[in-house]
Amino acid sequence: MVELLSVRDVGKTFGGLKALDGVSFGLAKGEVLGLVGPNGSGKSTMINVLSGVYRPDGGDVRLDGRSLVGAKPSAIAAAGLSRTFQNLQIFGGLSVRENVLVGRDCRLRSGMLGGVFGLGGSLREEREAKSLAADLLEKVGLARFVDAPPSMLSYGQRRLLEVARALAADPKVLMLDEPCAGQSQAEADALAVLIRALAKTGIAVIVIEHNMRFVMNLVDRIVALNFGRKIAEGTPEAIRGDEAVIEAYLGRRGHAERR
Amino acid sequence: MRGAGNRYVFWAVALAAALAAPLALTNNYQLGVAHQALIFALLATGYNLLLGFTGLVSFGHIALFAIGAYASAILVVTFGAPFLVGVGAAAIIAGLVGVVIAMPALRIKGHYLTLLTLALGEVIRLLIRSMESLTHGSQGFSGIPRPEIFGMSFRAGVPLYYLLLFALVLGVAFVWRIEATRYGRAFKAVRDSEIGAEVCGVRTDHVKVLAFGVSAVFAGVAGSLYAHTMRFISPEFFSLGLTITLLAMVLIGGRGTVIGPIVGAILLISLPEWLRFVKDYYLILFGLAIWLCAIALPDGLAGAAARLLQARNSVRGRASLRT
Amino acid sequence: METFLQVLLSGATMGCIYAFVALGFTLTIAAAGVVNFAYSEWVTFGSYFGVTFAVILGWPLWLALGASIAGCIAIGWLFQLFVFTPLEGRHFLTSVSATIGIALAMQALVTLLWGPYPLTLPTFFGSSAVQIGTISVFPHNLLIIALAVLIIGGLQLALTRTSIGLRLQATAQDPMAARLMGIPVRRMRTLAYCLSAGIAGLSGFLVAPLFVVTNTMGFGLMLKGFAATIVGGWGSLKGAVYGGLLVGLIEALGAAYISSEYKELIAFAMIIVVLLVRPRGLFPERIAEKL
Repeated sequence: MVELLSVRDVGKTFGGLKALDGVSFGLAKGEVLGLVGPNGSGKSTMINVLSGVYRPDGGDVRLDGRSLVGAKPSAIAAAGLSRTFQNLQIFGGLSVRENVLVGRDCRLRSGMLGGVFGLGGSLREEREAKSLAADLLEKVGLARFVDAPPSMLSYGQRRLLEVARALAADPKVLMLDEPCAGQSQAEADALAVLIRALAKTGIAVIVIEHNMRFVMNLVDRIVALNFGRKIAEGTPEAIRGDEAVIEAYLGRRGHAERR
Repeated sequence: MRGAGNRYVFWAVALAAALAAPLALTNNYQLGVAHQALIFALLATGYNLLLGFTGLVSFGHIALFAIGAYASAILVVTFGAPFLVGVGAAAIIAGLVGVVIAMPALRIKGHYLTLLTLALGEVIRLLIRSMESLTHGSQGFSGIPRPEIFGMSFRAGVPLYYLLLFALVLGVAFVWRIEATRYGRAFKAVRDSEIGAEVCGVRTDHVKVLAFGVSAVFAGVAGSLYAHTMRFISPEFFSLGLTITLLAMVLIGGRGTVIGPIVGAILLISLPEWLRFVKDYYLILFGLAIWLCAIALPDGLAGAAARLLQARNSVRGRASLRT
Repeated sequence: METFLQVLLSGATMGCIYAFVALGFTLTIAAAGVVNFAYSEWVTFGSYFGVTFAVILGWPLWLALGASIAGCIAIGWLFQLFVFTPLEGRHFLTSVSATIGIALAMQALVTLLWGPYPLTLPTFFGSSAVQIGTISVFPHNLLIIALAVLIIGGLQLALTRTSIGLRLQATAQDPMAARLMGIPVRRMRTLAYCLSAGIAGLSGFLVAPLFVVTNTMGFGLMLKGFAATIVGGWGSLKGAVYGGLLVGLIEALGAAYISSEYKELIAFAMIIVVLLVRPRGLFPERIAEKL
């Protein structure tokens, strides 16, 4: 397997607390990876390290062989790693379309004066970006909201807007942090179909999700974390039977479900 | 698209009214008030790029205005440069200082940034006052000539009015255009969620420096125009009180909108004239008006108007979504 | 050596005043997230109340002090009704413009009520200095320092040792959780506003004999108070006290040994230097941003 993204021995400590402790995994083109674990296991920290919000204390993250450690989040996005947020970071003062266009910004080249004076190149670039944004909004099912303010969207729709915004950067790796939170089962199913379609085009997807049914049915491979360490890795079937995972995560959930 | 059409009509009417205004401004005093309103509208329009669009609360903006005024005055009076050189230098120098101020602003956020810029602004003002050989210190700089461009004199009130209006129209057009570009979006994205913008691939450091720099250029040009309009400047004029007035212009007019700062500037410059009859109570009424505006219209006059329009449109919009 | 002690004493005196101002300003931020740019005018009113009661009405000074504090608390209570409550949870800029508007109105009101000319307020111990060893000391300065130690120490004890203080702290840290725990958040905030206003009245009364009473005096003090809150750390009560002392001492030392001409620059320079080194002040609050 040729690794698109390789995470090697990544650690992150917050005031003595090891949020991530020597975690390694790889990701291939077109693969869908589930990152699971109980609350506080380090899933979100991992996403924040990968996207450059946190700088890891140790280890290395490479995309296409190029190290991302120490790069600014914007540079990482430009390198091809996009993400959504568990706590939504929608731009409330921009329209739905403009939100997606912000996601495109790292691919745009026109300068300020070109835009202000309406020079040909920047006009064309703007037109192309707008049509791409329209396509992406169509893809996530928000086409009728293009000119609306995001406040008109439901919580679940805002998650989809973040997905469209992340896709606007033409990512090689897409990281979705709890994409199903606040979504109905029908919306979650539609999202699963979308993720599979994206994977087919070669985008690698990392999904953090509490909805186990969603994860088990969607992903190719699972990495399970607990207390900042990787406790298991494998296909959904293998993870379902893994003692350590059941102990840390599924066990409690299974227990809760039996009640 | 009807909304966009209405907007063009609105701006056309506003421009026509501004062009015709000198007919109604019958004496030099009223013209003088109009001059100030135009200059402050330009200053507030630039400040709004920083405050309203990018969400960076700087309390040091008046210092950039002062730098523009002094740079132009010194070049034209002391060194005999033509007016256009004075304006150009004012824009460049203020812009550079704005970029320098932006550097610490990249690390310092929120309230800390506000008070850092306040301190920087005051330090700049005190420096201007202490550099007596250049700036004539606290007694002020007088004898600044009215603008003259390629032999065309703007000494009289009405031509000067049109020159200032021309500058304002250029400035507003610039902001209006930039709002629709990637830069306008990036400014607002930084305002609404800085971390979100950065992670989406917006180089937020770059965007902030740009916002500081562009709004500083506006301040520099406005400062130069102010110096050559009033013909006298002093360090005391560019005090914290003026910072507060500028802030009030943008907030009362409506931050983050193109029209807001213009409305705010015209209102706050002409309000003293309208409230002349209340005499001693003027400042009390003025202060209470700011308080009332803040509580009742948190998005300013333009924001309140936009909300009214949006409420009307969204009723229509929802109807059309259903079909 | 004598001059050094002399300078230190006057620096500590002003430092205590700045600490009071910064503390009162920070209290409303910590308790309700409201930034009160009209705090300068509360202090000004404290001074003018003092002049009114002690000089114009001829009351005994202790009584006048009490009445000034009460007067400021009344102002604080009015602010709660008309300014703070509508502002809670609003954008920072909304707080800024509303309180600045009120500050302008109050400043104009002072001129209207008390006239444009500076007034004076006597001290408790007359205006002559006392020799202690080789340095001459104004008893009023010692009173300021003693009161600062007493009140700030008492406040510290009250906030950390009494149940009402702990409830106030809980309200400040998480109003929602405090409300769920049955703490009357509304009343706790009222308490914080009144405390803040009382401190304004006290500092206005104490600072007035050091200078003359004018309608802009509060504003000058407030600038130093800002410097103190920034140097100490925004929203931190401990930071406000240390920041105030630091600003007072450095200002006095700078004026004595560098140049008194640039005295007003010192507070601003301190803001700039501290922030460049520590972007969140010397005693930063811990803020975690969850993504």
